[in-house]
This record gives sequence, C-alpha cells and structure tokens, in this order.
Amino acid sequence: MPGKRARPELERVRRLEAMRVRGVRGGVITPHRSMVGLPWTGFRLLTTLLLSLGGLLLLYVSLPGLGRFWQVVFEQARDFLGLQVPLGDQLWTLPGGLEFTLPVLAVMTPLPGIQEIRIAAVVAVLVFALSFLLPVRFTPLRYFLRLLAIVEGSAIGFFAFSAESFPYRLQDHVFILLSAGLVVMALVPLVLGLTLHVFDLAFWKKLLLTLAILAHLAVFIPLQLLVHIWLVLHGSAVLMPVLFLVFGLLLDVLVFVAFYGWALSWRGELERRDVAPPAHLAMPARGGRA
Amino acid sequence: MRLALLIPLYAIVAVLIVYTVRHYLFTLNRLFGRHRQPYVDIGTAAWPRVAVFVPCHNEERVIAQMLDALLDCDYPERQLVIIPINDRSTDGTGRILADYAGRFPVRVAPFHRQDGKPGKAAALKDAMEASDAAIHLVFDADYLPGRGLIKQLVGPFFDPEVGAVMGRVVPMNVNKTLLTRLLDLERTGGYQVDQQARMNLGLIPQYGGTVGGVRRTALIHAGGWRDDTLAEDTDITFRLILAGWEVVYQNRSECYEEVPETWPSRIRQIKRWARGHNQALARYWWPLLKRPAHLRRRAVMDGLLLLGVFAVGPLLLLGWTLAVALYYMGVQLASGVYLILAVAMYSTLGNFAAFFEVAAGARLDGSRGRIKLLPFLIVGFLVSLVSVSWATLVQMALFWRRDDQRWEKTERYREAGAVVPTGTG
Repeated sequence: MPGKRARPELERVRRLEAMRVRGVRGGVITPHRSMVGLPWTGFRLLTTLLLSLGGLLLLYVSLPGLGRFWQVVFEQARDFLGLQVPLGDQLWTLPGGLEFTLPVLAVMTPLPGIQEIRIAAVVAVLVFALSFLLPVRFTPLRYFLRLLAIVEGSAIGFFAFSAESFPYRLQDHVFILLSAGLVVMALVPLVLGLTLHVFDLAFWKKLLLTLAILAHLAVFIPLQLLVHIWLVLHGSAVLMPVLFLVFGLLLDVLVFVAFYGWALSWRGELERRDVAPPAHLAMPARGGRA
Repeated sequence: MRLALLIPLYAIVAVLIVYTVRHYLFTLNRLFGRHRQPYVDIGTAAWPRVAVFVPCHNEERVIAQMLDALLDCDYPERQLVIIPINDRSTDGTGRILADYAGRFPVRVAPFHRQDGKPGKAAALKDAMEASDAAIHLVFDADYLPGRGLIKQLVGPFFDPEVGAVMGRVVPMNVNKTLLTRLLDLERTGGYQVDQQARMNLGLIPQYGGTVGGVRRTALIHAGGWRDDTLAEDTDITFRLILAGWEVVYQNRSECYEEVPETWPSRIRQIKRWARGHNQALARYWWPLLKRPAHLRRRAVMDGLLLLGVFAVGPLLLLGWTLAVALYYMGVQLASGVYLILAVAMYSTLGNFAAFFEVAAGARLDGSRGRIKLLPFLIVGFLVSLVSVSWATLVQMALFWRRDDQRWEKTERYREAGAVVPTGTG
C-alpha cells in the first residue's frame, strides 16, 4: 500500500496512463493486434469454475431424465421405422459408482451375405473411382471419398473372409457409441471451461452455449445412432466399421467444434468498452463530474 | 498381437496429448502472459547496412510490386541494398530486374544465376557473397512489406546475441477460396499465438525463411546457407540455436503474402515443407537432445517438438490405422483414445495448432467472423495429413538418394500490375 506521500504520485501516474490511451473523442485507443491480450480477472475465474462444475452437476442430475429421454426417442423411432423388436435397457456403471441406463434395441445384426458384399464392393469401387473424376477444387471431398472407400474396403475384406468372427453386434455398436457420446457430453463443460470460458464473453452467453451444446448432443447422439441402425438394417453389418470410425465420435467432436467456433465469433465484453474508457481509466470531466 | 498394436497406439496418443497440452499452454500464455517484443518500433538509430535478398524464379507477375514496396521503405537509402536473385528465370523476371537496376543503380543490385542447384537455399547460398552488409533480410517475391517493416526487423539485431529475426506473415488473398480462408486461420494460429508464445516463454521461435533475416556474422558462424535442404529456414534456425545465437520473433512486423489458392499448389507446398522439416528433424534432434550448455531444458523440449511437427501427421495416420485394426480384433478402446484421435483432426498440420489455438489467434486479431470456419479445419487437415504422410513415406523409402532435393515452386495468382488489397479480410 502506498504511503500518504506516494498517493498523489500514484494518482498522477494513473491519470497519465489514462491519457496515453485516450482518443480524441474520449474513446480508448486499442493496442495493435500484435500486442493485445486479455486481462484475467477473479470474476472470470469464478464464472469458469461455476460453469464447468455447474455443467457437470447439471448433467449428473439430468442423467435419469436423459436416460428416459433417449428411451422415448428409441421407442418412437422403433415405431416410426416399423421395427418389430423389443426395446430394453442396459445398465452402464460409471466410475464412482454412478449408474446410467442406456436404451437397447434388441435388433439382430444382419451379417452380409455374398450378395451384400458384392454390392458393397461395387459401391466402394465406384466411390473410389468417383473421387478421381471430381474436379481438383473438390480435393478435400476426393480425399474424403477415398478414405470412405478404403475403410469400407477393409470391412469388405474382413466380411469376405471372416464374417463370423466379426466381434460386434449392432447392439454393441449402439451401446459403445451411446456411452462414448455421454463421455463427450461430460467433457463439454470441462473443455469449455479450459478453452472458452477464459475469454471475455458475457456470463449468460457462456451459460447459454454450455446448455445449447449439451441439449444439441442430447438430441443428436440418439438420432445419429438411429440412423446407424437404419443403415445397418438395410445395408448389413458391412457398414458398421465406416459408421463407427468415420460417422461416430468424429461427428460428435465436429458438433462441439462448430458450436465453439460460433461462440468465439460473438462479441466480447471488453470489445464493447472500446467506445468509452474503462471505468478504472475514467477521468473527471472539466466541471468536476465523472 | 493385441499388445503389439496397443502399445504403439497409446504411445501415439501420448504424443498427441503432449502436443495438445503444449498448444494449450501456448494459447494461455498468448492470451494472458506478458509479451516479449524487444526493440519494436525503434524510430531513430545508427542503422546498420542491410541487404534484402529476394529469390525469384519466374516471378514476373509479382516482383515489380515487391521491389516498389521495398524502395518505398523508410530505411535510410544509403544503408539499404536490394538484391533480387534471378534464379534461372525463363519469363520476363530478368527484364524487370534489369529495368529496376537501371532506374535505381545504387539501391537495386540483381544477382543472376544461370545454373547451379535449383531452389531457394542454393540461390541464397550463392548470392550471400554478393553483399557484405551486416544484416541479410530475406523476402519471397510475392510478399508486400509495409514502409516501416525493414526497421522493425532490423531493430532486434541491436542486441548482439540475436542471430535471426522473424516477422509475421499475413495472407492478403484471404477471400479467394475456402482453402485461402483455412490457410489464413492456420497462419493466425501459427504466428499470432504459437510463435509469440514461444517468444514469450524463451523457447525457440522459428525463423520462417521470409519476412525475416539473419546477422551475417551469425550466418557465417553457423556455416552459411546449406543447399542440401528443402527447408533452409528450419535448418538455419536450429544451427543458429545450437551455435548459441538467439532467434527473435516480432509479432508487430507484419508482411502480406499470397497463400496458395488451389489444392494442388497447397499439396506441393506442404509436401516440400514436410520433406524439408523432416530433414531438419533427422539432422538436429540428436545435437539438440544432447543439450548444449546455453540451452534451457524447456527450450530443448520445445525444439524437439517443433522439429517433429511434420512427423505427427504420419503418426496420427498410423494411430488411426492401429485403431481400425484393433476395432476388427474386437478390442474396445477407451472413448478417450478415439476422442484424442478425433480432436487431433481439427488442427492445422503446418504447426499442429489445435482448434482452440486457431480460434484464440483469430479473436486476438479482432476478426471474429472467420472463427465460424473452425469445423472446416478438418477439410484442410485431411488433405495435409495425407500429403505430408505420403511425402514422409516417400522420403523414408528414398533416404539413400542424396539427390532428392527437387524444388517445387509455389504458384502465383496475382496479375502483374494488379492493385493489391491488404488486410486479413
């Protein structure tokens, strides 16, 4: 703490500092982008902890409801898709003694016969060939199609020679991806805490984003897996590797990154203050009024 | 068998985690840390003599604008000589250079190469003898330096320990295609966050071969330019560091460049970078690991990770391949393993900047709108991943061939005489 003598000097330094960044219209002259940074505040640390822990807590207390919701979604989808199969549930024991009930559709896993494998092989070859026919401006799509064809090719090779030893049932596929989706949802508040809440977005925006991602994933994940089920039932298990490896967690992460990018494109709290000097730099006007 | 696949997979995941944590720390440092920007914006000084080298191989579309920009710089005229290196051009480059040399006989002194090894490194090596200036700056022919840039880049050399200085590269053709927008994001993450954080933390900022320069005595001390490398910038960075010189990054010193607008051009570029970077990895990982006394442990660690950025691509591809194999074997990997592999796909491969680092850089730049493109990073990453992995595999297969130094020139898009908009758009 400065002494009585130092106080006027400190005040003078503060006023000089305020003048240094003051523009002709009274606004703040912002530093060049190469030098700009973010001030870290105790409030932001508090809100970061609050939102991260709050998000986890919210997910925890919502788990029974989430399980029931996914059960309802699966039930409705079963009727919509005309699947004559029983709907059950499977208990998933989480670390710390937590338990979560995941819906299970007792569908048979349709292993591919020769006919299905031939069709899949023809489609894979066509997709691979198509990738070479596309114009070069579609290079990423060309690469993606080749990737799909290669992964599908590995599945065709596996099922052609060793279909009986395929280690997954469709139920396992769904269970693994549902549980992995729940892991993603649990990580959302933590990852946002580490990577988004440190920015100067308003508290309500951060809260809204956390809720939006969780809500989106809560709806997206079961629908994503219902699409998987539908595709496998119509195209056989030869599609399962592609669906698992390319259209599984990669898509969930894509959803997160898209929301994250969207949120960071929002205006920050500190940007709003560019038009007027921040409170701690404000100087009294001539008439003595602040 | 399972164990034989699981061990390398977990090792790869561990490497990815190390890189992710590294870039997270860089991001935090850039956002909240104290920035080191030594000697920035010195206006008046006893400026040393500077030679600006501009390697040109068939650059008739862009070289005139580059020379005009350099001639317009506020560096004392008597202390500055511009040396465009006409490296076996077959277009109108030689004629343009002759015209400038005629109009500015003291300030522009072209260096003509008719034969010898192709490539920028070889051109620089030959041309180095053409000037005894204390500072050698290097620019690519498509770059457009601002008026004060030369002074900004020379400023840090007042510190006698500084051997090289690097400025920030900012794309100017951002709004052309999706690719240029993605490359803009990549550059942002790489320079605004990655390089500045390494500078702040006393690690190893990389001299990037353009928008920067070296001290002549340091260059000679480190052995001069090597013409047997495809990444003379990474090569000289590590030789200078190992020889005890400092490399400085100047985030304030921005220069505008053309990034590739077409995918084939980008693929050629990143393949060349990968091969050059891998050469540096093979040459300098062991000397670095032996840790010369002047290097701090964290600088050594960061240097090794920097050397390995292009090796991460093939590693990630191998990781996915192992995951596929284990999937068929019925091994249920932890969700975290797939998640790490998946998250790594939303990075940029040139510097392995993770998505949050790229977003932080763009936000610091004040251009928030482009952060919405973040999920599209996977598009560029996929192409880069395959290209870099292929280049690395070919390089490993042909490691015994000493003549594997084919230089792929980056295509230019600007029309000669075009008005050039600057800014990140």
